[in-house]
Amino acid sequence: MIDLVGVVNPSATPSQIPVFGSGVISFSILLSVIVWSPAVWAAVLAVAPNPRGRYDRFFFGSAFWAMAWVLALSVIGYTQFASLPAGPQFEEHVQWLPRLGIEYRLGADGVSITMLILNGVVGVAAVLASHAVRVRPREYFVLLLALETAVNGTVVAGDTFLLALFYGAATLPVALLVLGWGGARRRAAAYRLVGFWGAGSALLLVAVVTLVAASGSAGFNLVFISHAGISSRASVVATVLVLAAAATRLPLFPLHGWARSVFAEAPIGVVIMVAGAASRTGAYLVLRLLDFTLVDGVRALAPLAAALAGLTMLYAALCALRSRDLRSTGAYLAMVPGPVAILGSFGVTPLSINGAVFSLLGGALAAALVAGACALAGERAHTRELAMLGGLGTRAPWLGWLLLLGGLGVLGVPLTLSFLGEMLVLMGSFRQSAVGALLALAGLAVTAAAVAWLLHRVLFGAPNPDAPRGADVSLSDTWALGLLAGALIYLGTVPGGPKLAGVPLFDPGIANVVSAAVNDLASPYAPPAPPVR
Amino acid sequence: MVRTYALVPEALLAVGAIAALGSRRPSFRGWLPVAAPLLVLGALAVELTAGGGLGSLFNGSVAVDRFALYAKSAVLFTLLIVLLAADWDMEEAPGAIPQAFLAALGGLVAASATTIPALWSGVALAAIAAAIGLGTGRPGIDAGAPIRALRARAAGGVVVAAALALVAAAALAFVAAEAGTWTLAGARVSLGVGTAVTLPSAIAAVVALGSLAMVMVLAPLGFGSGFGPAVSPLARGTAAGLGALGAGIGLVKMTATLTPLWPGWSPALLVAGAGCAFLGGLLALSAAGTRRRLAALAASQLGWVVMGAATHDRAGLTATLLTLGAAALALAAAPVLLAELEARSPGPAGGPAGRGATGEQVGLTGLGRRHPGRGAGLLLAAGSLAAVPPLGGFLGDFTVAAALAGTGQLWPVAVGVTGSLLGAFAVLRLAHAIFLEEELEESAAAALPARTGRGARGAGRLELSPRTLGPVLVTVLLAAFTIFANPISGLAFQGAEALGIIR
Repeated sequence: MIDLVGVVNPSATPSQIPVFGSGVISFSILLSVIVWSPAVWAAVLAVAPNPRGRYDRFFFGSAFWAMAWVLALSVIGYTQFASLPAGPQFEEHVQWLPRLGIEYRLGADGVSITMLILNGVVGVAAVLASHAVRVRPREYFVLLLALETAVNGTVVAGDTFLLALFYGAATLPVALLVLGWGGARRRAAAYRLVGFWGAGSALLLVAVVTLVAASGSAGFNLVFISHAGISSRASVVATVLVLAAAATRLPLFPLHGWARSVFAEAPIGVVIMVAGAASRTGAYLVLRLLDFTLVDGVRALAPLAAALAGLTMLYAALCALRSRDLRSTGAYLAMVPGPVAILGSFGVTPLSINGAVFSLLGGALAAALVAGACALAGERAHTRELAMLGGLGTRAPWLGWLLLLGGLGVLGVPLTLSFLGEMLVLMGSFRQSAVGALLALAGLAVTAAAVAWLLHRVLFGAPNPDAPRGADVSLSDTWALGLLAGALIYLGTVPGGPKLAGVPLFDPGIANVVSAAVNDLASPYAPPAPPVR
Repeated sequence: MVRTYALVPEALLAVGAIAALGSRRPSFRGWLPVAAPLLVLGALAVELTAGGGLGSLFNGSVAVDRFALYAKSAVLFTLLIVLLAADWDMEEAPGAIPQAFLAALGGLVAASATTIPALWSGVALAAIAAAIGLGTGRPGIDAGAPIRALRARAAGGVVVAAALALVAAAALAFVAAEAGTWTLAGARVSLGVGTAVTLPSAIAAVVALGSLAMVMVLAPLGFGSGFGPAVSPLARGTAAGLGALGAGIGLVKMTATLTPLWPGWSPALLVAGAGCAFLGGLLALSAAGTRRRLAALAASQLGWVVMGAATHDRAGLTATLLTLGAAALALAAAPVLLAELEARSPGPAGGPAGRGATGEQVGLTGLGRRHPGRGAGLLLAAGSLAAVPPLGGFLGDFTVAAALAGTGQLWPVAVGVTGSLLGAFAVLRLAHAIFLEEELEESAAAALPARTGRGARGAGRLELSPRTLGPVLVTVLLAAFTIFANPISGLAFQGAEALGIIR
């Protein structure tokens, strides 16, 4: 199972740029352990005795260590990942429903493995931000761990049916977390979420069945389907279905009805988890299923989808600008980075698809940071009304910095990973989807105004004497948001990984890890090679 | 080679029913919680080994094939779930226990029937035994107006079940007369070979299938609306799970027999199934209480079973069997687990004292803390009925949808999926009530004794007894359907093949 010296089964294929420590540890069931550890631990927590609430704090601590364990395993997978070969690694394969062609198949390419890291970081941050949960802590952390299993399962599923199952499985935990620990209007928020995400999951299932039927495949194997010839008509139908499924989750206009209410009502840990991990599975779906499989459909719908993405950015930015509620502003700002990844995916150029991957990762961190910081600011300031806030920067400097970083991350300023993503997406998609790119640029401009307005209202200026006196963030909250901010800046600063004398150190570099997978994804969109003279 | 010990499961169930009928001694009652499930486990073990052969017994009167193996195993698992979920303090001896065994026996007879009369006998035995069981009260209830009303409703249920059984009998007899044979295989062959389809025979086919489908869907609906908390929880599980399963087995076998006759009944079944699936989801969302909500979810799930039966092919029939099995397990578990909570609720004669914030019965509120095993079991059963991924009900519904899509019939899939989505909202409400709603007030909570040491009483104590372990085992069995979906679906596939559907 685990051979620590790598003699029996060294890592998949040695990297051409060896990183110190690579090939030392290999797991034959690494992905299953990453996916199912949180669920198993949730089951243990669910039945652990807790007479008279004596061990309530134990649930927080154990959930933290469970998430840290998942992150550590993901880091191991990331460092042991062989950068150059395309295709999934760490593969696992067990028959599940062979008569229907359904398998328990897991595998991770460069995008998946970095998404696992992202989910791990966001999971740890979400638990840390939930340190103040005192009401029904057992149920809360059980659901949070179940959610982690669902999002991790989505990104490593190698069978489209399994992917659809994990994708849909995130719905119930999030809805229950909102319903059980949300604000005053939690009921409406939870039911909206179930409506949108449930419909999205059903659409995805229909899309998957359509794909299988159109490909003539005997099963749901993702790689097999992607190499099967699918007719243009079926490709367009499946693309519409998958895009609609992704739009409910990411969200994209006009299927964004759940986002404002959920981000405004959910507890901070859930906001971070949804903004940083659960909702990003929508963009991952587009990359994995559309770019990889449905080339004709993507080409046909590219202008429309790109325009939709740009429109969503503009709409979210305008809503953020005119919002008078701090958490709603945060919710709308968190909606901005998602469409960038969609714009990149439908940019139908290798550059834009490369940008979409970076945008998916950077945007997730930025969205989680800004939504979490806004939620935390509202909690610390004891009010959500922007009109009442002011001068929080002097009273709560840590919170001020974190909110500032979140805003800058959403904008995609240099030295953040989202900058890399947005730049590549805009450069790559201008030629093919000019309308979408222009709308996105306009959206970014309005977002800049919204961020400036938010920072002006919340952080700067004289404190409002009528407002309740705010306090700075606690150590746990600082770590939670600091982790997100640190990841955003670290990955944006050294995307190729830190090197010493040209030799990669502990980190192979996100750009190197995703490169083979991105090349694979973007290969159908590469321009034809010039004729040799 | 098939030997007569393939009939040991039937014999064991008959012995169980007679033993439960014949003894009222307290010492016997003490053994029941352990002895009854062990007896069923023994029957299941024999079935899984002896039922693996292929052939027949008594000159072809009893079939031993893969369909019988699948259907009988489903019946025995359903009975096991009913017995494990039951709180034996609330059951009278003999009470509803013999009826549970008899209803299961009816299911076994129907599963291995090779003739139309045997099939009808099995279905009728299951339906009527389940309906009679509903007339059984529970200890500690005054024999006043509630019991009288209960008896009247139970009598009504028996009359309805008997009437439907008689209608089915008449229709089946007509079909047999048309075919000129009483055997199912013979009828299938002779109906398929040059028999002119007459209007009466077509009507008879529709009536036969329709009445079986009605018995199947009415079984859980009766649990939902007709019988109050004064009825035995075990009887409710028997009625919903075993009553529906017995009728479902009859429906599947008759569907396979009538396939060559006239496919005109297929659209009628499709419309009925799709309507049932959609309306069930809608009613589940709008239902005023948990019992009705679960009954509506069950109707929605059984609508998928009916849709699968209308596909005319092996994939569809496989899906039907898979869905029927998953539905039976969930249908058996949910009413028992819920009925015990209702019965323990404070209020006059154990009636529900009020409703929580979500409109659920008050006994459900805080259930996740007081009885986590029971709460998880109830939620899994409801989730399976609502086809929440990846539970057994979802896998069944998905295979039905795939089979329908394979034949180009997309509208029933769309209607059914909409119903399932509506049902998912209903499950969310249940989950909220069970795990997230605030605890009951002290006085109300005191009436609901804690079993796991997490409630107001018995803090720190973890009681290990059949009544606390039973719901946990039920939860495990429901979850196991997903994990072992591969062998289960494989057996269902072979079962459909054994019915002669090879297309």
